[in-house]
Amino acid sequence: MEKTMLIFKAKITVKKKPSVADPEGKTISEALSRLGYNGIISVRSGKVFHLEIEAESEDSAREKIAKISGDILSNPVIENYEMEIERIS
Amino acid sequence: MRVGVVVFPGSNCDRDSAWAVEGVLGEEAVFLWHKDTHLDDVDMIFLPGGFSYGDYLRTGAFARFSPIMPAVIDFANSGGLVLGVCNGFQVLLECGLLPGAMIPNKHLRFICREITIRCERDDTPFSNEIRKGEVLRVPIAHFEGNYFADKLTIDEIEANNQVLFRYCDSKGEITAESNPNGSSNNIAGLMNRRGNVLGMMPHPERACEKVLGSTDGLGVFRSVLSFYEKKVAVV
Repeated sequence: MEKTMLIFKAKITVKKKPSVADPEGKTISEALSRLGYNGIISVRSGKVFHLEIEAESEDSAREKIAKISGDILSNPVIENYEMEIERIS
Repeated sequence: MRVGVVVFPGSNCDRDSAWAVEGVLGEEAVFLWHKDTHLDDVDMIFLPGGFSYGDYLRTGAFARFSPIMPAVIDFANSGGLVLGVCNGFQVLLECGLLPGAMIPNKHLRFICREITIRCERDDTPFSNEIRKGEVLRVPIAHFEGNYFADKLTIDEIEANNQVLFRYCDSKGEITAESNPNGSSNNIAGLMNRRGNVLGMMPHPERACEKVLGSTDGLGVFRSVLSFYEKKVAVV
């Protein structure tokens, strides 16, 4: 019997590690202060990827996404990632 | 000497690089397409500048997964000479042949101008025809050339003398003002520990003829040729 495939939606957020300089975040932060937005303590820029994936189980979907996120979507030398996953069918 | 210039979709310094090898140095250059899986018996690999795969995701991120890269990595691991310039340097970092990573320039500007770099060693395959401490005028053209590595890695790189070129002022002093992009320790060119892989942001192939404004990049090409000829003579 064929295994039923489930569909999951994932959101992967890639952030620069705290020790890595973020010129983009710094520029945005400075611009916000200049534009009169008071109270901005810091800005860090990053990337968000939305993925839809077919898998047999949530565990297997997580495993696949973790591999993609660690090997391709982020560079572990300078970045960390976080993932959220949700079953949609 | 036969030099293989790898062409990725989006490479744009491949012709200049081949010209430096063939037209200026008088050696043979062959183009290797990114979908090739063999290196065509070359004596050296040149990863040229450009915007491989549109620089999508991160610079060099997709080039690393090109069909030719496993052969390039094997070649490097067996001691073959690999030179990566600009985007080529970024590819070497992404595929792990060199430590660290590139982040956007300190001032978030694409910098396209001539800068000065100091040669730190004269005993490598890439610099045996350059004097130690010599100041070279070579152009840079990049947005992501701000070299980063964690402190432990930087300490290791320095302890092993892996830095071949540093951004400097016209007198050869390593200063914050002469660092165009914010690179750690003014690093402009970095080798692996074994010394057979070099990545550099400045473009030596764009400084090989008088008509280009500088011939200071020629030293890198003369050095690899001289290294190759000595090696062949020994064999």
